[in-house]
Amino acid sequence: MDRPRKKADLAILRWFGALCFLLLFVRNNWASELPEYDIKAAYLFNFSKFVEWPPHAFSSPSAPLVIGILGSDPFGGTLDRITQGEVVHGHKLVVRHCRTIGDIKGCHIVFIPKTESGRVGEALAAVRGSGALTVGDSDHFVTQGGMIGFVLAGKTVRFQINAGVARREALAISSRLLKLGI
Amino acid sequence: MVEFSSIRLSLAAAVLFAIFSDAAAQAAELEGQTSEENLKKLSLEELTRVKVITESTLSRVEERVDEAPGSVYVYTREMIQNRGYRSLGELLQTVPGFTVFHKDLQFVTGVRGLNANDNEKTTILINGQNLNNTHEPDYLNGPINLDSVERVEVVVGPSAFFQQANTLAATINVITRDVDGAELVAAAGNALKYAGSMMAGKKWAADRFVSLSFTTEAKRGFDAWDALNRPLRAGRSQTGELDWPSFFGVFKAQYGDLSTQMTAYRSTFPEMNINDGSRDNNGQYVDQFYSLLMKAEHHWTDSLTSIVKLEATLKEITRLNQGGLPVNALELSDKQRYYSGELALQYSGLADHFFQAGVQGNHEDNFDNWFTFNFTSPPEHIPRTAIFTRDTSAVGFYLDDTYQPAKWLKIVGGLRADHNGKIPADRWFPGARAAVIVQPTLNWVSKLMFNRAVRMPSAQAGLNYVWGRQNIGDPSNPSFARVSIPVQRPEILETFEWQNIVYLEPVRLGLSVYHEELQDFISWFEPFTNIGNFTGNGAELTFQAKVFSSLNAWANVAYNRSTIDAFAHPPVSSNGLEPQAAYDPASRRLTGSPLVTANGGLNWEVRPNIVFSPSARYFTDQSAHDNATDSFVIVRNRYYLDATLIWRQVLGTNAAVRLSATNLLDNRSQIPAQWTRNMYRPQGIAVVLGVDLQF
Repeated sequence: MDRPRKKADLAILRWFGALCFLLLFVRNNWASELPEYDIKAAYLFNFSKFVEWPPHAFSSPSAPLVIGILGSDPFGGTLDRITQGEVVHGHKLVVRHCRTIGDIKGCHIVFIPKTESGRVGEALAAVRGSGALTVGDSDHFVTQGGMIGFVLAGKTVRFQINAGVARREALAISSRLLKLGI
Repeated sequence: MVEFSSIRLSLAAAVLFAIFSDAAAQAAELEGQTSEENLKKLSLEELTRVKVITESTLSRVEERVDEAPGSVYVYTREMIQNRGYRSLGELLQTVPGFTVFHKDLQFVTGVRGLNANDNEKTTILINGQNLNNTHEPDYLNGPINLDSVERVEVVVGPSAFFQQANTLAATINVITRDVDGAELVAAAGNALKYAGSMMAGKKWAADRFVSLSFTTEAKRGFDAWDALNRPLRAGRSQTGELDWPSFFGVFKAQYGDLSTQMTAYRSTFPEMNINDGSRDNNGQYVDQFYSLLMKAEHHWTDSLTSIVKLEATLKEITRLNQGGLPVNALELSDKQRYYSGELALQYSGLADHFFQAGVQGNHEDNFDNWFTFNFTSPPEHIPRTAIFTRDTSAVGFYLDDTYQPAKWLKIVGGLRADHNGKIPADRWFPGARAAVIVQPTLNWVSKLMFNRAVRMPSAQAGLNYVWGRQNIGDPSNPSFARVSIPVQRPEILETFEWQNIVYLEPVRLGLSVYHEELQDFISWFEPFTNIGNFTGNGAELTFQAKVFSSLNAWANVAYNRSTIDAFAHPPVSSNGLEPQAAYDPASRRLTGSPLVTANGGLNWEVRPNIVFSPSARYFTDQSAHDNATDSFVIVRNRYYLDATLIWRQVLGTNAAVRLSATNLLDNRSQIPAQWTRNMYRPQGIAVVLGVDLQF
C-alpha cells in the first residue's frame, strides 16, 4: 500500500472514530420508526378516545368498549397488550378476535384488515345501524362505505375519514381527529 | 497485509469500545421500557409523523433494514415515483457505491470499484428468486419498468448468502406490485417511445391471492459517440435503444402453503458488433428468460417450518444477424435450460436463536451454444461452431443462525459450501457471513460485518474451450482467440464492513467503512479467464432529513480506492483490445472506477398531493481510456441534474400524472465506457410524461 493511500484510510478511520465518540453522549430516546401495525394499533387506541358513541351503543354505562378484529390478527397481539387495563369514557377496553362476520356484531370499533378485503362489504353491512366505528386498511375502504381508512403516505400511516357515514351512525368524531384526516 | 491487519484491529477495537462503554447502561433502559408503554403515550399528532419501519428480506425473513446484516438500501414505490426512476439503471446510479456505464450498446454497472465485464457480478432477484441470465445479463435499461414495482432492495457488498454461489458485488431484489383490483400506467417522452404497465389481482386473504403485472416499453436511444471515440464497429449510432418486443411480466399466486411465480423477460436491441454499416447487417441482441417457480411452505409446529422450491427456467442470450450471414461480424447464441431445487428448514425452538439450514442443487442443460465468424479483411470465415456442449450440475449446503440474546444485540453467523461442475478441480468452496449488530442507544445501530461470497463462472466463461489459448492453430478458432485460457477457479470476495446508523431528529445518518479483497477476478480477456486479484477500501455516507414538514432532503457520498494486481498474461495480440483497456497499468485502477460519487435531492410537497423532487448526481476521478489519444486519462467533475413533478389524485380521482426530466443541464461531456477503449457521451435532456390510473 502506498503512503497517500494509507494516509487516506487512516484519515477516514479518525473521522469515523470521532463520530462514534460523539455518539456515545447521545441519549435521545426518539424512535422515529415503528412496525406498521404497531402504529395502527396505537391509532385504534386513540380513536377510542376521540369518538363518542350514542348511549344506545352500550348496554349499560359500565359496559366495555369492544374493539373487534375481523380475521387473523395483523397486530400480533400488540393491540391486546396496549389496551389491557385501559378505561376510556368510563368503559373498559376489550379486544375481541372475530373469526366470522357474526362475531363482529356488538363491537364498538370494528377493524377490517386488508387481508379481509374480500369481506369488506359484508362486514360493513353486518354492523350498519349498530353505531360501530368501522376502520380498515384495504384499498378504497372509505369509498366502499367504511368510516376510517388507513393509507400509507410515504413512510407514515395516515387515515381518511368518511364523516358522512359516521354521522349516519350517530357517532361524534372530534374535530381534532377530523383535522388530522387526509 | 500489515495495513489490512491494522484496519481490522482498529475497527474491532472501536466496536468493542462502543459496545462495552454504553451498551450495558442502555440495555437496562431498553429492556425495562416496553414498546407498548411508549405506543400508548403517542398522541394522534405524533402518530402522523412516525415512520413505518422499512424491512429487508436479505436474510429471507423480514427484519428492519437498520438491523439487517448488510448495507441495505430500500427504494419504496413512493420514492421511485417521486424521484422519477423508470429503469433499474436510473435507480442504481444513485445508490452509494454504484456506477452505471455503457459498454457497447448495453448498460452495465460497477459496485465499489468492481467494474465487471458485464453485469454478472451483481445478482438480480425477482421477488427473491435469482434470475440472472446466462453470461451477460442486461437488465438496467428496461424493460423492468419500475411502474410495476412495489419496492427495490439493493444490498451493496457480497450479500446473497442464501443464493447458490453465483453472486458477488451486490444484490438487487425487485419486489413486484400486487394490487387488489387493477392499475394501468402509460408513459412517453422524447427518448421513450412508449411504456405501458398493467397490474391486476385479487386478494381473498393474506395467503390466497393471484397477481399479475406486465410491462412493455420501447426507447429511441441516443448518439453516444463522437468521431474520435466511436468504436470500430459502431455503425449504428443510437445506443440505449430498446425495441419491440421487450417486456417483463410476473404472475404470482398463493393458496395456503402452496405458491407459484412465473416470470417472463425479454429485452431486444440492436447488436453493435454486427451493425458495422454494411447493407446486409441488421444485428439484434436478445436477452430473455422464462421461468416457473413452485414453492411449498409448511409450518409443522410454531417453531419449525419447511420450504421446498422447484424451478425450471429457459435462459437465452443471442446476438444474431437478421439478414443471413453478417459481414465483418460475429454471431453468438447461448441458451440454457436451468433446473434448480431447494429444501430449507427454519427452526426457532431454541431460545433467542433462529436457525436456517438448506440444501440447494441445480442442473444447467446447455444447448444451442455456438458462434459464427465472418470477416473480409483479412478474409476469415468460421461456420456455425459449438462453443461448449457440456451440461453441469451444482450443489450447495448452508447453515445460518441469528442469535438475539437481548433487544440491543444480535449476532449472525452462517457457513455454506458449494461444489460446481464448471470448475475443473473437484473441490468444495466455503462461503460465510458473520455480523455483530448492536443498538447502543435507541437512535444508534452499529453493525460489524464479514462476508465471504463465492461466485462460480458462467457456462460461457467456464466451459468455453474453443476460443482459448490452448487451441491456437485449430481452424475453428477465430483470430482473436489467442490470449487466455478459460476460467479455472471461482472468484471469491471477502468484505469486512462496519456500518453505523444514527437518528438525530430530524436527521438519519448512515456511515459505512469497508475493506474488500477479491481473489481470481473473472473477466473477458479473450476469452473469459481469471485475470488477477483485486483489493479496495472505501466509505459510504448517507443522509436523510426532514427539513420542514413539507420538505425532505437526502444525499449520499461514496469513496472507493481500489486496485487490481493482474496475473501475468501472454503478450496481447494486435487486436486484443480489451486487456489493454481493462485497467490503467500505472495506477492499476479498473477502467471506469470513480474515486468519489455523490448524489442528493429534495422532496418538496408543494401540496399534499403534489411533490416536486429535484436531484443531482456527481462523480469524479474516474479512470478511463481515451481512444483518441490511445492513453489512460482521469475524468473529473461530472455532474447532472434531474427533476420530477408528480401530481397524485388529480382532481380528486384515482389518477396520477408524473413529469420527469433527466440531465437538465444537457451535460454530454465524455465519460468512460466500461472495460473498453472508447469513451462515450451520456444521454442529453430526456423528458417523460406518465399517467397512472387505478381501478
